[in-house]
Amino acid sequence: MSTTPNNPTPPPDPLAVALAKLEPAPHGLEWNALMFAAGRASKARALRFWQCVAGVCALAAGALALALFAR
Amino acid sequence: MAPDQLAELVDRYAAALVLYARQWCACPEDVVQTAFLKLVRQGRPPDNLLPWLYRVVRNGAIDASRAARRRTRYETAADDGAPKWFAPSHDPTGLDARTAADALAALPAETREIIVAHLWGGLTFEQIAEAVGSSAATCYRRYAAGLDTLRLKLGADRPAHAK
Repeated sequence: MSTTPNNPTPPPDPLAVALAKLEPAPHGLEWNALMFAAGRASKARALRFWQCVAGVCALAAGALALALFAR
Repeated sequence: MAPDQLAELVDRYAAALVLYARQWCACPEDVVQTAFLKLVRQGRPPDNLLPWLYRVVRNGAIDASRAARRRTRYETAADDGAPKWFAPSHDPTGLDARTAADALAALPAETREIIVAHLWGGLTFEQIAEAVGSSAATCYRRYAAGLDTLRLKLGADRPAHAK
C-alpha cells in the first residue's frame, strides 16, 4: 500500500527562501531604557494602588482635622 | 513577566517586529517598545502571544503613521525607510538587500505586511489572519500574489512545481 499523500506539500518557493535569508536590520531598541520602562510598567498597578491609599488617608486626615477644628 | 522572559522575547522577535512596523511608520522602535511595555503591563501573557504582539505593533504603527502624516503632510515614512529594512547581505549569490527592500516597499501594504510577517516573523497564515483580522485563505492568496509580483520585479524564476 502506498503511503504517499494525495496532496504532497510542494517544495518551498526559491524566491521565498532567498528573501527569508535576508536578515532584518538590527532592532535598535535601547536595552537599558526598555528594561527600566518595563520595570516601571510592571509596578504601575501597585503604584496606583498605593497612590489611591495615600489619597484616601489624606482625605480622612483632612476630614478629621476639620472635625476637630469645628469642635 | 520576569525580566529574563522579556529579554528572551525581545531577542527573538524584536528585529522582525521592527521590520514589520517599519512598513508604516518612521519610528518602528518606539512602536515595538510600546508593544512590549503593554505586554508587561498585562501581567499574564496572552494565549496567542505572537499574533497578539503583531496586532499591537500593527495598530501602533498605523496610528503613528497617521499622526506623522498629520504633522508633516509628507509621503508615508515607509518609502524613505525602505533601504534600512535589511542588514547588508554578505552572500554574493543571494538577493541584494536594498533591491529586495525597494521591491517590497513597492508592494501594496496589505500584501507586504503578510509577506513580512510570514517570511521574517515566522507566523503561520492562521496567525497572520488573527493579527490582521482576515482569513487564512485570503492571507495566503495575497502572499502568493505578492511573491509573483516580487518575482517579476526581481527577475527570479518561477518554482518548478508551479510551471
